[in-house]
Amino acid sequence: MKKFPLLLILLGLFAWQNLLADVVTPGEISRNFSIINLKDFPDLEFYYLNPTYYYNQGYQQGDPVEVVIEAGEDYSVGRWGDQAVLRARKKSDSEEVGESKMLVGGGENVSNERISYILDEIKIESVKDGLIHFTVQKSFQVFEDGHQKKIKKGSVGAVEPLYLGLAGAMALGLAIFFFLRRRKAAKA
Amino acid sequence: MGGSLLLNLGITLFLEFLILWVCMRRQKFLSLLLFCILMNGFTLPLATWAYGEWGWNYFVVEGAVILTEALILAGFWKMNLLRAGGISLLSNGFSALVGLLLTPNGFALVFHLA
Repeated sequence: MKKFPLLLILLGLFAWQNLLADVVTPGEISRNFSIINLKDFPDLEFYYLNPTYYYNQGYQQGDPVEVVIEAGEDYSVGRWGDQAVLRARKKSDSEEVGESKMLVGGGENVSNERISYILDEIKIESVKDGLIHFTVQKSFQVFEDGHQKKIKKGSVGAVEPLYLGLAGAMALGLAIFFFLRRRKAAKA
Repeated sequence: MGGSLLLNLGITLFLEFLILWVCMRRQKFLSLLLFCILMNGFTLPLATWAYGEWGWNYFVVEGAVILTEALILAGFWKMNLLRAGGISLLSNGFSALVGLLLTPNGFALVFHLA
């Protein structure tokens, strides 16, 4: 019975270690995409071939399914990490007019478990000579509660200086306050 | 982002100061208030950053905050570490509980029920 506190501490350490394991394990999330300027190509229909899978002594690849892209919708490609070519055809007679060299979709490893997926906003720049040229205009982290946070290219995030600056200033203030009190107590 | 950080800081300060004041009535009101502002001004931005930006587990962040504040309390007021830990647990537990109640789906998000 005397060793009960020790057992309690060991149990606490075990729980703590499990929580820390959750913190450092990165999660696999998909990279979705949406096309922001479909209205610039009213005669064309954009689509991609979405890989499918079925289970037969392990996952086997099935026939791809065609997915037509609509304005304002997000799309993911197959399973985690899968990518696809973007294709276009005429709405009038379904004649194929081109496909992209760049791929859409893919996957990411993130340590923040509350991010549901990454969203790339794609702008179609041109469709000519059988080639679709597009650029990724903006990328967002989409969280499980629905809010989006823009991913800044080449920077970790503009909020860092605010957080670190405030914490640093307060720590300095705390240290000054501590020494002032100690000096006052020594004088008294 | 900065606005919500300051709002959170304001709410946390008010709640934690209430507990500190009740537990440490012998200390001067203004000294305790200044101490509370500086201590929470130090821990809250780091906790918000660890939880929101790095995606650390909520309970790990709260545990780290309780431990840090217990050490600061014990060192600053020359207090028994066990007593400082108790006060820190009480004040942070109270503010965390109110914070979860004020956040829409707060408990569901933290306990992964959503």
